Amino acid sequence: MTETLSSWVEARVPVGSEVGPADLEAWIEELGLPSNPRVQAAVSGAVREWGAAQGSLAWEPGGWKVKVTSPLVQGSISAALLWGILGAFQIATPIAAAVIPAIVPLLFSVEKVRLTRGEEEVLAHLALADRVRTETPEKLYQQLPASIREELGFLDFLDLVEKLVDAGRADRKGGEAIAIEPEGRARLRVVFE
Amino acid sequence: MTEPEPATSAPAPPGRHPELEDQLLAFGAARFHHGHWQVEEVGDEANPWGLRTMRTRHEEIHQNLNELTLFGLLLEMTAHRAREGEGSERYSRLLSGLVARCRTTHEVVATYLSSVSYGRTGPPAEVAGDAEYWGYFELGAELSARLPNPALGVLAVWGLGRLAMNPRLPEVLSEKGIQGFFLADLRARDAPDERFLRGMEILDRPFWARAAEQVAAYFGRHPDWEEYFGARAWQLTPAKMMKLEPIPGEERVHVSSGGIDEGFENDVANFLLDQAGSALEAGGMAFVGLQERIEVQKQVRAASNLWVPRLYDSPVILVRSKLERLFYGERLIWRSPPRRARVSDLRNGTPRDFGAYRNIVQEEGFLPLYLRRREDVLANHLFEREDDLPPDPVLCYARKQRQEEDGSISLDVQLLRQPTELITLGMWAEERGGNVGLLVSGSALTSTSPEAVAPWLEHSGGAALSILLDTDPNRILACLEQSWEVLIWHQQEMVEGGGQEVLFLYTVGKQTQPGLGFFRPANSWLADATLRMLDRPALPVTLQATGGRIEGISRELAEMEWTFPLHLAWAAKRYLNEESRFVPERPPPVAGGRR
Repeated sequence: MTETLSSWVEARVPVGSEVGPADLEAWIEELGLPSNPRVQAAVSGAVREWGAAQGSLAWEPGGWKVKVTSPLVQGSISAALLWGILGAFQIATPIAAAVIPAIVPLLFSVEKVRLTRGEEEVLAHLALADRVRTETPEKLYQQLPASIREELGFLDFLDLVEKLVDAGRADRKGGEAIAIEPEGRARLRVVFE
Repeated sequence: MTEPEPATSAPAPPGRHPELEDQLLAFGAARFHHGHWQVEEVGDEANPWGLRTMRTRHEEIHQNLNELTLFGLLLEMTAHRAREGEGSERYSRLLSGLVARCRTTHEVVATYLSSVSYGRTGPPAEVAGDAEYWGYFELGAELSARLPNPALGVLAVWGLGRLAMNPRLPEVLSEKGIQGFFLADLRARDAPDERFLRGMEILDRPFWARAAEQVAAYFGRHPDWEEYFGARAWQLTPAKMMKLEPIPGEERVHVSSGGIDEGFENDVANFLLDQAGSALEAGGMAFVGLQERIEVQKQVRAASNLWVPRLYDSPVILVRSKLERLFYGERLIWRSPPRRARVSDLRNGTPRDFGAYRNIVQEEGFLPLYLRRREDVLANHLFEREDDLPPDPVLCYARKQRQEEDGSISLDVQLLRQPTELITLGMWAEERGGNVGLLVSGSALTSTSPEAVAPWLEHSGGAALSILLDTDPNRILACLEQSWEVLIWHQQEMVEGGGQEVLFLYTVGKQTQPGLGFFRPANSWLADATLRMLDRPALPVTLQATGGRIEGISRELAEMEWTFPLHLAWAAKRYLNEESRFVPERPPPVAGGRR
């Protein structure tokens, strides 16, 4: 069956619920992402630091919690998970976790990102936003809010865009999905659309 | 979610940064503030002694990591600016961003190393029950397990943490200082967490196996090797952990030249780190060595016009600086806000007040009085009007609990106005069955107002004196040294009030009766550091008392009546439990000389 990443997230964190590090770890497992420190740090860092910037982060005994007060929070969680997928496939270049929820919607048509689950694996269909291929990186960068540009230098942004475009192109030419094999057991593949 | 999040640029809600809340590294009941840390006393713990030590260790490691590294310099300068002065809002946000870029590194090192020192049964519930901190612990454990034994593993975790925190800083920092720096100036690949995770990938199991082989080939015949790194080195006692915390000489130093610290463990650490550094450089990850770091730190501080202390400012006092960091770094919080309190004069006290004090005398054997700086009295009580307190820099008072109508407990602070009142009060207490008369519980910080405190001490006569060590213990001991011949110290676990430990320092002269005890709230780590700070070769005898029995004592001394004044210190500790916090302070510089 196929569903969008957004609806996958919305079903797990309805508005009014809370999300913490244990939830994220469970979802990484459920999506078939490798449980490596880099993916975990990127996903949990994105949700936590974004929550901190929004004032919806609480430190509690047992771990932090971000309150899901609006669809905006759900969106940031989708972005964090998408970033985790990119990280797992080594498509992502390093950027600060806090800016991930702002960068991802600029570069991807997040609503079109779909997950197809078969018996053995999850197939992720990633949809780069058209503007990534049509606009210059400078123009794209200028579309980010000033507060994000204060946190993310242009050179880091440029690295990321180039890598994404290359990955998307490589994927098209080869006509093959990129597959990841954590410890020899492929559970997730990714296709750029 | 097709457009960039507009809300990300929205201003923070008001009141978001009351105490730099989001920018801190918070761990259970402890919070690290860059420069100091605060531990909240919480009761109901199975192993309070070990847990308190672990919390102290955890926070101290944060401080250590900051003081040793360039990224730590950035954190400390930003925190300094965020706490005060103009533009503090910008620096608060900057600090949030910086902490977000090194949180994993900081917490893996602090959580893993403090948990390992907690005990062999594994990390405490505080770590195991926290999904995030458990993750940090596991990451440290995974790295440590790449080495042949935990002692070498500890060095590897420390080492990678420090390498990660020493990236090349953006040049703008040396040119324009912290005021000209923005997060966008820092390349993401130079952020400590990115470096730490990359380091985990580059420094894999085969690398550490080779490095450990080489270190064993080089140091294996050293007489200390077997104890620290040999086959039985899995037993990591707290004392061993303290030695294994390397004060680094130079990552690139030739081992034979020794570095700053002469310790053998340090040589082993540097040898390992040297290999790790080379492997990381080969993997494309630059780091800044010691000499360049010292230079960069000077430039950045000068350009920022902000001189935050660094460990390498004066290499000869490295050990002292480490001990002082422990002594002054930790702030204990018992209750926040403080208890409500009323001020009155003791001599205007009602019969009911004196009835309460008589009961204390009959129960304890003395009437406790307190000698504190006015500012500390203010900070530890919630007075309706601060003006109720007289303006004197040092206040002497009795204090008792009062039950309010709503059931809450408040405090009566009943002042003595004249030092001569001590004499009549002492007689009063003795007549009512007190065997000591008065216990004057002083604070070492009152010595910063010598003229104000002297009259009270002069008139304290036969009162017992216990002194809270809230400032440099050496300075206090030096003042009194001439009349002493023996220094005895005692460390005891208190089971009251949340199971906190108290360190006692107790002194007598040859012909005098016991009458003076020093103490501070501590755990074993802090107690040990305090004792090591006491560099008192002038005293002919230094003894350690354990459980009331004193060994190694001369015959002449043994014939004296030795009673450890535990009850006095317990009383002083009970007093502290009513307070809000314990904040040791560095003494102000003495005119005409440096300590």
